Amino acid sequence: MMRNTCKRLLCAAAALAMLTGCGGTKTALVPQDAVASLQSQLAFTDEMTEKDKDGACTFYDVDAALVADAAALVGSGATAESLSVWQAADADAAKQIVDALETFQTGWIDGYSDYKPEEVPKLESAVLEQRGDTVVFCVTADNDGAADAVKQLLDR
Amino acid sequence: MMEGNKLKTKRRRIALAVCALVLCGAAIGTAAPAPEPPAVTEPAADEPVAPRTDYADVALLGNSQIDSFRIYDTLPGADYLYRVGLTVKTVFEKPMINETVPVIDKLKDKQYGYIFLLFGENELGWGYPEIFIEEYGRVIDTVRERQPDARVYIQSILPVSAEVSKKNEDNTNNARIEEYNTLLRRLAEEKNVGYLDVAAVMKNEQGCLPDDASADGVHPGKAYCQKWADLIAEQIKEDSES
Repeated sequence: MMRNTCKRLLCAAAALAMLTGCGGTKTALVPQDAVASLQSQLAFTDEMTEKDKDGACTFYDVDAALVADAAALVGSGATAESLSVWQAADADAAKQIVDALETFQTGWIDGYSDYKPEEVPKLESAVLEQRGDTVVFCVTADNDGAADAVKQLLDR
Repeated sequence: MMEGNKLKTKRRRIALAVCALVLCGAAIGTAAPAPEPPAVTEPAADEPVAPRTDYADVALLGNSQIDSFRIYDTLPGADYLYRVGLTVKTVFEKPMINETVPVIDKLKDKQYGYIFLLFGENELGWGYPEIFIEEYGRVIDTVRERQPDARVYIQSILPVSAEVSKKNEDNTNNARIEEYNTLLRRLAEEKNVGYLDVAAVMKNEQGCLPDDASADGVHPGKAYCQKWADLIAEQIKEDSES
């Protein structure tokens, strides 16, 4: 009887392990890799420059204490185009990063409204998505296409 | 008796004088020694001055072309006080993005060694260039009030690409830019501030910003922003050596 109980327990444990394996654990996004992958899919008209975590925090005015890792591509000033991927310290920090990026977006809409109004639609339709600790923000020449690419990246 | 008293008085006076001398000597002996002047190490005549790596005492103030410096970090440590579309009038009214105080009031936050002004690209379409110059003069006066010890420079207006010049939107063309830059040189002399000819290092033989210098023909990309930063760095170095 004891042997049967042990067998049953072993089978249950094996089944549980298999279920966990099927459910899969998502590997965390590496911001630099994500930016590189998205860059090849997104439409930019500007000369883009890479930014590391510190550079991204400075450019977007995001508190570095919220950020575990980040990478960005930013335009030359000729356009409002940019792309950034953020790995937040935790989900709560990710929400604060989202808030900071919304503030950035609002400020840039204000700034470009009287200077380069043709950039405002790009900013207004910017893609801003959060999944758990990960946040992606991009302003491109084709934000509809960007939205699809970002969703595919985050929902893989 | 009288002689004895006189002798006693004399000895007392001598003793007092000796005590006074001893006390003075002791005081001199324990007084803090006069500080030695700091050793000044002058570089040898043929020794090159080490290049600066930090520009924390430098501010660039003006329009959106300054954004290039922030993006490419070509003057590490410098402060960039600017807003897209800023003019010599709105610098007194509009704040930097997501801030509240007018851009020119940022000069109240800290004292700088150098201030490089950049205006003109957004004013090319103004009907009266003399109003641009008058308002620019007001900017310089205000900068001087707030930054009495800073060296102030007017930077020339940057050239635009041939394509942008041909489009000529809001009178943005290289001939107009040259006209404005002549006025700015004169203003710099009148106001006794420096004039930094950024246009000279940016333009090609046709007087235009080269096509590969900028994505939109107006805002310099990384390579040309670096040329600009090098010019500023060179000016600062010349000033420190003179």
